[in-house]
Amino acid sequence: MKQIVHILKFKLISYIRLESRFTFGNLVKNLGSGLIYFAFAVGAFFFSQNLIRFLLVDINVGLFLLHEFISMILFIFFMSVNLGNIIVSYSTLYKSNEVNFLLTKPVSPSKIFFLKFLDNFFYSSSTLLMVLLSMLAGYVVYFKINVLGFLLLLVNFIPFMFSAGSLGVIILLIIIRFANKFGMRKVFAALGVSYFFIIVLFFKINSPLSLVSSIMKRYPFYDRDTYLGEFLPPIVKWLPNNWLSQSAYRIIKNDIPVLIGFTYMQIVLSILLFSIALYLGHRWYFKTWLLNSIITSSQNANRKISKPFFAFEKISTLKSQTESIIKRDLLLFLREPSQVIHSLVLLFLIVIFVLSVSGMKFVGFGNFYLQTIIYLSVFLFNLFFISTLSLRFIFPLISLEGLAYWKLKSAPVKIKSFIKYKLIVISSIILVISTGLSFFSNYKFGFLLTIFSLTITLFAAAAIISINFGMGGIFSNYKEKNAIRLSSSQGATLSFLTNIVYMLFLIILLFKPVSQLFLSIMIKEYFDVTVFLQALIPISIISIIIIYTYLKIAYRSLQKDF
Amino acid sequence: MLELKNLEKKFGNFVAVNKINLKINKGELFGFLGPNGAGKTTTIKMIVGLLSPTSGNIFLDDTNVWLKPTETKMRIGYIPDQPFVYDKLTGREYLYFCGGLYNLTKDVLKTKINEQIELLKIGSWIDKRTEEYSQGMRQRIVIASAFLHNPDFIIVDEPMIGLDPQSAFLVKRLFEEKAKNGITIFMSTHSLNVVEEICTHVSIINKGNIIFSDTIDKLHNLKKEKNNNFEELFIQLTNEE
Repeated sequence: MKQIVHILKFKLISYIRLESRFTFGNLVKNLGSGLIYFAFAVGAFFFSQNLIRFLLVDINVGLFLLHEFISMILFIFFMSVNLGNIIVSYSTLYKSNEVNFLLTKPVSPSKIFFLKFLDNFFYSSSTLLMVLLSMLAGYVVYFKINVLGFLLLLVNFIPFMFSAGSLGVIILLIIIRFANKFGMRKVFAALGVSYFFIIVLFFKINSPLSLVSSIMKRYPFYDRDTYLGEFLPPIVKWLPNNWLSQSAYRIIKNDIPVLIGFTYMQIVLSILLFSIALYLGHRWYFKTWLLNSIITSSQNANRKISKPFFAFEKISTLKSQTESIIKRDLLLFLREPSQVIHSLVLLFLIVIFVLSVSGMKFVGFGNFYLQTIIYLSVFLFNLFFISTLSLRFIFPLISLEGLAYWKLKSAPVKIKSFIKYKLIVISSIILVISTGLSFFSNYKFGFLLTIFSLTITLFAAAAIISINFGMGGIFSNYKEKNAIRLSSSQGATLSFLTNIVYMLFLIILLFKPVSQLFLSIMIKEYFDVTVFLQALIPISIISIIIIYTYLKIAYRSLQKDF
Repeated sequence: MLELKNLEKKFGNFVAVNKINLKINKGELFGFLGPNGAGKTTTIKMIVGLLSPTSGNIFLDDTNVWLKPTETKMRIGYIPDQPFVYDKLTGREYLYFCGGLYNLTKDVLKTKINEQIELLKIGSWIDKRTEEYSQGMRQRIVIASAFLHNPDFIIVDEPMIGLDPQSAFLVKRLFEEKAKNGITIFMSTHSLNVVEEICTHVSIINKGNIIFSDTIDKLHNLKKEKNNNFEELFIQLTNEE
């Protein structure tokens, strides 16, 4: 224990020193970060309050359904933390220089495992944690829950998070053991397929639509605020996300005995999973670390270098510099499994999303307000996709130049050209996806709205790409090779929060024209197109300013000393 | 000619390079000596465009390096002390990438790469990913990349780090040959033996200041005058500051 405290002390010292170098730039950066974090926390707080109010008052879903929706969101959250922890743990437990260093010292692998477990748990979950805590605060305030109730919620929430993290590490240890027998690719592919099926299965068994319709059928013979557990599939009641949402429900209902039961199960599960993780870590960590080294080196030894169709040797019509940088980026991308896997997962999600929204037309017909809300929610989802893609693939672009950036910086390449070469491929892909998303979620709404939405989406996509590129420059970390870690770093979080501020600005400006269009369709009146222009002009001006500013920021950051 | 005029670099209050002046003529193999932290790498990084000078100028044949960076970088080949390359590229792909940055055509590149493989004895490693390379092999690839575009000036930072005796010998002969062909080589090192063996001119930097700058013969004379060996002379010079 003494050794663990000793190591933690020095890790903390190095972290504090790294973060507290006092320069004007750092001061501005930290103040800006603090401000954005604060604004975002406040935003999430009010958003959750308004969302609850909307669901309970406007839509009148009732307390039971509200908590079942929360349970579904918590399930996704659990899976995200779990999967995130597997990915981050792999690099922190098996690829980290710190582990290599500690293994050469008289520190037992079990202690290293414990230290890195804590490390990556907080690293991979901090942003999600902040979002959820702010929303939790909104929930607490809306239902006027007292301090004790809030503490009880936290007592349920923290073990829930811990269970997700512990399960991630347990799965990782098992994966590495299996990878030795079946090969890394097969095991990771199996894992991806399993996660996909688990999510599909969850929503198949616990379909929100079936739940809502089965409850609505019995209305008004049931009180929608009472617990209607008989409508839930039995297996769902055994999941920790349901325990957590049930605990929240019981706090509101002041049903302490049932609440204690759920809290007890939540805590026992987290202790159990954490103990299993520690036990397996104690038994397997060093073995799996060695196995991973063997797997990696045998992969290297058996690798056959294949020449892709865009190999360097092949003649190209592009200019030499353009060709060099684009081909290098493509090769580095395709040879990094995490990049390829993440791209495929995101592509799959986009296809699913497009298929789900492409048939959408006048949902909520007869209520133009509800229709506007639904339309803008889908629009916001589109923007979230664009933002996620940009955060994942644009934000790390500058950092991924890595320590080998010296070659480019000392070569006769103009920074402006470099930015152009770096952005051209990935930005084009994101812009095409954005266009597709916008088209498929709009074409049934008619020509006018499709063109309007397409224009706004393209401006938004370009602005979001620029924000992420610029923020990636400000927070560039050439020492970090892992794109996933880069896109979940503090800088990436801030970039994401900046995206959200911009997206909210768009939604606010779009509300009036979209609602007026739906109203005019509903009452069959003439719609004045200039209403669209009133939104389009400020959106385009602000977007262009954002694009210019953030590209300038990226330019400046690339000019910095290396 | 490479000329540094009142070149200064400060990191906050710390003066890493203190208004130094140097002239390196065509065909010279110029040794830039100094103890650890003397300012050698900082000076080199300012020449190749990795660090911006706080004040002063760098001229390459009367062209200001920081005013016309693209033009001057075309003429420089840089070999850093740490040979960081892209792990997932093969040596050959890396060389094609580097050549492309200097607008070399495919045919020229192909010939040049094959020459470098032969010259630096890279062999079949050229088609392996650089993540499998030893430090020495990475260094060879980086050296090869610096010579691809036929630069007039080679700027080298600690070239012998990580090289085995065979590779070190190879690199020394390569530099001597290039200098004989009129290429200017500016080489920072703290290896006194390397300087004695191959350099024609020497500068010694200590705590950011140039404390000696002349031909290697003058340094030899100084050594004889003081009746010391080279190592003792260096320690004496750098301690006097």
